[in-house]
Amino acid sequence: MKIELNDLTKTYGEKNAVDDFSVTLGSGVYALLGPNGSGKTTLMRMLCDVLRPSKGAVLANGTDISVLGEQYRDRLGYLPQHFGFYPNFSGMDFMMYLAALKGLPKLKARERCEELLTLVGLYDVRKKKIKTYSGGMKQRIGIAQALINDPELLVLDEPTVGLDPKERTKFRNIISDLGENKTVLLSTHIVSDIEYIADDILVMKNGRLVLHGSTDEICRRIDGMVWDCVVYPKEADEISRKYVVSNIRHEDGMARLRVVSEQRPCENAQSAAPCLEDLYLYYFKEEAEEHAAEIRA
Amino acid sequence: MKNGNIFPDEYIPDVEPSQIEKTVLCGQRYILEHRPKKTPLSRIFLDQIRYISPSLWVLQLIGLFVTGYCCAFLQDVCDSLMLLLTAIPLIAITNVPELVKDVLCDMSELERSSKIGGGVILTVRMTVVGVSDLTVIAIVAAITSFSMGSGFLPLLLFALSVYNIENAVCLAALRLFKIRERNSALLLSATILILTDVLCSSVTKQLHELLNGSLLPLIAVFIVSAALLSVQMAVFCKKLLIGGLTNEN
Ligand SMILES: Nc1ncnc2c1ncn2[C@@H]1O[C@H](COP(=O)(O)OP(=O)(O)OP(=O)(O)O)[C@@H](O)[C@H]1O
Ligand SMILES: [Mg+2]
Repeated sequence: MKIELNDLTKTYGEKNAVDDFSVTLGSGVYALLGPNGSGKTTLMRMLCDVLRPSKGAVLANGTDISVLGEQYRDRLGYLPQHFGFYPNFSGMDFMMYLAALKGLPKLKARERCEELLTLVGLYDVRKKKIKTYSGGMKQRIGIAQALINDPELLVLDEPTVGLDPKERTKFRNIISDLGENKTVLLSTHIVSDIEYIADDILVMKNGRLVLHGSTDEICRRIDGMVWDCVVYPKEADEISRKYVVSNIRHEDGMARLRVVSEQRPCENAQSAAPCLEDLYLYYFKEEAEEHAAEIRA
Repeated sequence: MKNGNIFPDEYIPDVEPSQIEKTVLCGQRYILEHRPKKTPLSRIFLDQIRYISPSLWVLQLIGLFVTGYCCAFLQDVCDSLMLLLTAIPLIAITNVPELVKDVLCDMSELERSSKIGGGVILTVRMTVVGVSDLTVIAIVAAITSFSMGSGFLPLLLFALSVYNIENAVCLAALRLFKIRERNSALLLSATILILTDVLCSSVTKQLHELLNGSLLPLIAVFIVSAALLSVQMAVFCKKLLIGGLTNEN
């Protein structure tokens, strides 16, 4: 399925939460990367027919999704950033209810739900009430429900929140498999989740699409701007104040810093190959600084 | 590949890449539009009925039981007005919280992005709750009218008016106070019902006159209350469908 977002805009009061966002998605894994409040959720809601755009449209194979309606949603799987469940729902009830809403015949639904609960490791607790689930378990059942109808377009809003490292790896493998013949769009601000599985990265800032390309392509923008330097801890403080530092490691009384900067941050700095994390920090310097200030405070 | 040399008469031009894409898209669109995929309405109804909170049915049964009990054993101390004002709140208490339960339980994004869609789910849910309530209210009115010897139609109209007003006020309050949590919604609903009852009990004399007088004023009250509820429902649906009812606002 080919998905086109044309000049998609959503305005809340004076503010454009999503601002003239245009992109075409084919099959593959797309990662939407952006800091808090950059409009990722708003964009995904419009893509999932949950929120009506103020301007622009989403086209599926050339037809507006508001025209396609049911036909479009039939091929869609969506994991919202936040979701709940009806009181007293067990894991299986939750899955069966959503399978019903997705129009699966009952027999097939049971089989499919059990298969998916096994996939996300919740089969043994399927009869337990969801309210007794941990955060990570809830997130996993959210991922499972998005897959019930074997969607061609899978939209996942911060899918890895609350998952432990083992589950995170498993999730990455599931997504890589799906991306081969489906469209997967996932949002995150955790760069390591997508660095190796996303075919395409969409970087969003203040509702706008500011960067789009494969990891290598977009990292090339900061080629020659990433530095590896080993300094005394005292100097390290000063460098972190002046430059964007993407990593600090202390070894043998010295500090090893990874710095993103147009100029060489210190004499013995060696140029290093840029990665997505560096790029993210560089693009969202202000947000990163705010974040650092919050941590210090 | 150009075959010009082999078959001079049958020259096949190279296709433009954009044409290939167009053909593929046309095929995909054809398939998309021709998949017989409608879920039968009966199936949607059955599913929604299955997932209605049991408390709704239980309270309706209690409402019926209370009516039956009062009519059978407490005829001397109860009058029809009092009976209706007791039974209707019982029937209506979980009504609005049940209708908007997807918003209250944070399931609305999941429901609205599902194949069946938010509009259909809400309509079906409204129909299920509405029809079962109307049936129960009609039975309550019939029992009361039979055992207390008052007219059925005035009682029914009065009961429905009270029901409409209570639901309309509850919907409006939910929106006004931005309530997005199930227990708070139930509490709000209960408060509104009790307040309506208190209000009604302070004007019992006038209400009795209304019930025993001509039908016309009752019909007018009923129409106004139905209009009030319709407006509230319409506002609510509009908000829901443009996505204005998420947990953040
Ligand atoms: N219903 C709403 N009413 C008013 N403003 C809203 C609403 N929803 C979102 N916004 C605003 O739109 C902007 C984008 O929000 P959004 O939730 O899409 O960001 P996000 O990228 O998903 O953030 P996060 O990483 O925290 O999930 C924010 O500034 C937010 O305050
Ligand atoms: Mg978000």
